[in-house]
Amino acid sequence: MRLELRDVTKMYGSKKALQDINLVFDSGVTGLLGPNGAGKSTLMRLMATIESPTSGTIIYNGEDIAKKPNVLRRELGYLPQDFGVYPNMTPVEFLEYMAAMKGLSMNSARKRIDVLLENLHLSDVRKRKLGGFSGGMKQRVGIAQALLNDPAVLIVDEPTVGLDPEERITFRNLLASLSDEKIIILSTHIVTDIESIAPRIAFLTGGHLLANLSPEELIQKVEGKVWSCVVSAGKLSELSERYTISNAIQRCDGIHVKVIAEKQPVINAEPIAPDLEDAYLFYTSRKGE
Amino acid sequence: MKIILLIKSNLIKQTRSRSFLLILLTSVFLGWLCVPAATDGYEIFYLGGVRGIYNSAWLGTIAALLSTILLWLPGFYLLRNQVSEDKRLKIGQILAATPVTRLQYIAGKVLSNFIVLCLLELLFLASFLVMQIIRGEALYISLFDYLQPFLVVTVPYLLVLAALTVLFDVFPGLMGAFGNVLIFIFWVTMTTLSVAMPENPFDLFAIGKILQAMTKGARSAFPNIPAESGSFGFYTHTDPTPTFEWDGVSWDSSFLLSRLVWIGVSVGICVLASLVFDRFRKEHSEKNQQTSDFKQVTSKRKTLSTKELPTVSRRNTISFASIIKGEARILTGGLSKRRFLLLVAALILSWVTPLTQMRWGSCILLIPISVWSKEGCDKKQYFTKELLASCGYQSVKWWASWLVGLFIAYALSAGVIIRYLLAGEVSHALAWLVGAAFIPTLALALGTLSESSRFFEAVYIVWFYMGCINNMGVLDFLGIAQNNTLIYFIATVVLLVLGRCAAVWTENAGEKRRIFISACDKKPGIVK
Repeated sequence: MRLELRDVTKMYGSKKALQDINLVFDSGVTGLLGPNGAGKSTLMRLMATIESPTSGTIIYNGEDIAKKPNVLRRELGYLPQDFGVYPNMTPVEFLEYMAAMKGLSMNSARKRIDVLLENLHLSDVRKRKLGGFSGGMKQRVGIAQALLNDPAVLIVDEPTVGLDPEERITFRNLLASLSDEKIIILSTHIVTDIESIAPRIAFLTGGHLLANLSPEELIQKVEGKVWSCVVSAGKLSELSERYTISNAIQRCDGIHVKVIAEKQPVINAEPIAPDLEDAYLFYTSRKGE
Repeated sequence: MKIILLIKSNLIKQTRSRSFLLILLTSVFLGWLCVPAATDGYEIFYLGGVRGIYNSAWLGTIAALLSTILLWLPGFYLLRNQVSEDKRLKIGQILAATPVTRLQYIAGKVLSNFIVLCLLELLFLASFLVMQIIRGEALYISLFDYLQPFLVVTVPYLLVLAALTVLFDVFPGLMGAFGNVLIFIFWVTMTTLSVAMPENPFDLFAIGKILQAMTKGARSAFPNIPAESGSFGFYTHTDPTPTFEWDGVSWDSSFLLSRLVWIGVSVGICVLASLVFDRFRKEHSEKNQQTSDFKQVTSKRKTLSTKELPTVSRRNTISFASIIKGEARILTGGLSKRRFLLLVAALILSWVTPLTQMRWGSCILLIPISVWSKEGCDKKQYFTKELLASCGYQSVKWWASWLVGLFIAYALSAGVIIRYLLAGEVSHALAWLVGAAFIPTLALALGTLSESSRFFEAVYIVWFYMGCINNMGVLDFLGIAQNNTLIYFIATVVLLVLGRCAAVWTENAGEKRRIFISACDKKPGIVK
């Protein structure tokens, strides 16, 4: 089971949304990290067969999915960033409809729908219309439809939006439990969501792939580049113009600042151990170089 | 200033829709169609076998008359859900939290709807002006003669219409099918009264007054033509139609004053709408039920569990029956009890309405308009495009949607068709059979093309009125007065092909839209 992107470029008119992306996904969770406009959602749409690359190929188990999209679609679970549901349907009716659209046998799909609703705690509202559901509940219905066909490839774009912290943690655990036998591609802004479950992280910015490493390797890259210091409010604005500020906390002795910089940013700055968020900021906004 | 900004943003939203573009193109096409050359063999306006020379006064006045049919009802269906759209797109509550007053918001909607209607009318007038030059019967172009009926007749009735579009979108009970029926009855009543009472100074459409003036002009040149002979339709002729020169209507002061009354009425409707408007406090949109009309549901707070999921098997072939079932739920979902009862009543009427009364009996095929209008555009309306695109089988969904629409059309037509067959009227039965198939096909094609339910609603209601109720020649798709079976059979096939092509095109529309946006945006950078 292998999903491979070879020199994938996506143009919208004269604009390059993605440029020469080379990535290989094997089973397990891969996190896609990047700021807004980095090209994460475009990459996800390409892999979900909704759009085709302008150049390059996406190969799934040896087949070019631009030519044979149904090879992947049969084994794909996709949760887009923005999606709607049919408000007059109940969750069961909606999932049955999605099961039909995915070409599933209705008998086995019904059994799976029951357990999915139970796992996602929607059993008690299974007969209520989706139009009355809260954002978080609709998101859970979206997750259910993505898992409906027991996908070999699961592509989820910002899946934890609308979930409360407890639900977020459990959803992460759910993904982790599925990751042994599936390719799971998870895009998010929330670094902690990825940190805990993704053994591989791809950093995207400006349509380019900056890094595709494990969290440990990424953190290693910023060793000695994260500094802690206490500064005044005036000094903070000066610092933020020159360097990337990872964190700033107001205390009685001044503002405790975490700075990402190649060299010591101020005299009293001490080097500290970086975390994944620092690595993310290091890759996405390089200042003070 | 606030209201100008509101109008501007509303206008941008409305004029950038595909429905607006399609209606614009339709206006230009109708402009060409409605000014036939003397040798074209048809007229769209009958005045005792004669017509006015195509000068500015004649064409400007004909445009004002035609708009009561071609613009009033389509305009209503095109613009009737502007407030609901704000709710559907979830910007209603953002607007509600701003200092904009209810009156400012409603007035902004009314005025922007009015400007859109005026734009459509002016484009229609412009196409008539071009046709005057093309036909070349009178080469002197008088803008005053074009604008006079527009300002005196059209502007007041468009203002009333603009106010009604908003009132019917905020007044409880008028937002759904009942409102659609009510506005249709209102329009039929007003046009009938207008024709029947030409001396009525408070005539909204002024049809009778204009026809009277035209007939007077015609009789001065051709004294033998009957006094009450003006009507719109599709009238064929073999010999060239005799023409006369007509200089327009002389508006008397009492009539001009009455127009101010109608402007006052539209202001009154606008104020009433602002009083009824709940400022998005209540969720009660009947048409766009994205988040509304539903009792808020909460599930019990528990941690998500990870109980082992049963395996699922894939079919070698897709379950068409399950997709049909789903499409039926999508199209008929949200039918209120009232609308359901109306459908049942239509079903019964199809078995009991005398076959000699099918001109009005055909109205049973107006009742499921809100069901058919969802065909081809539900993915856009409910934001399910990406979810479904990742599944594949989009063409199956498209055909399933058509079959559900077809089933509804035939379920409501079964009584009529069977009774026609029993009565030995095979040609009528065949015409109805084809006509009933034409409706869901038209709905699917227009829904796919415009990605909106409104375009079909606007076109269908006018087509139905002109074809089935007024039996206007080739527009009579059910063959009530004229058998057009072959034409509508071909039209149905052509629409299916066009609709399918449009479906394939719109399946990649998101990508095309991004290309278009990036082409408009000259700044270098990355699009998400």
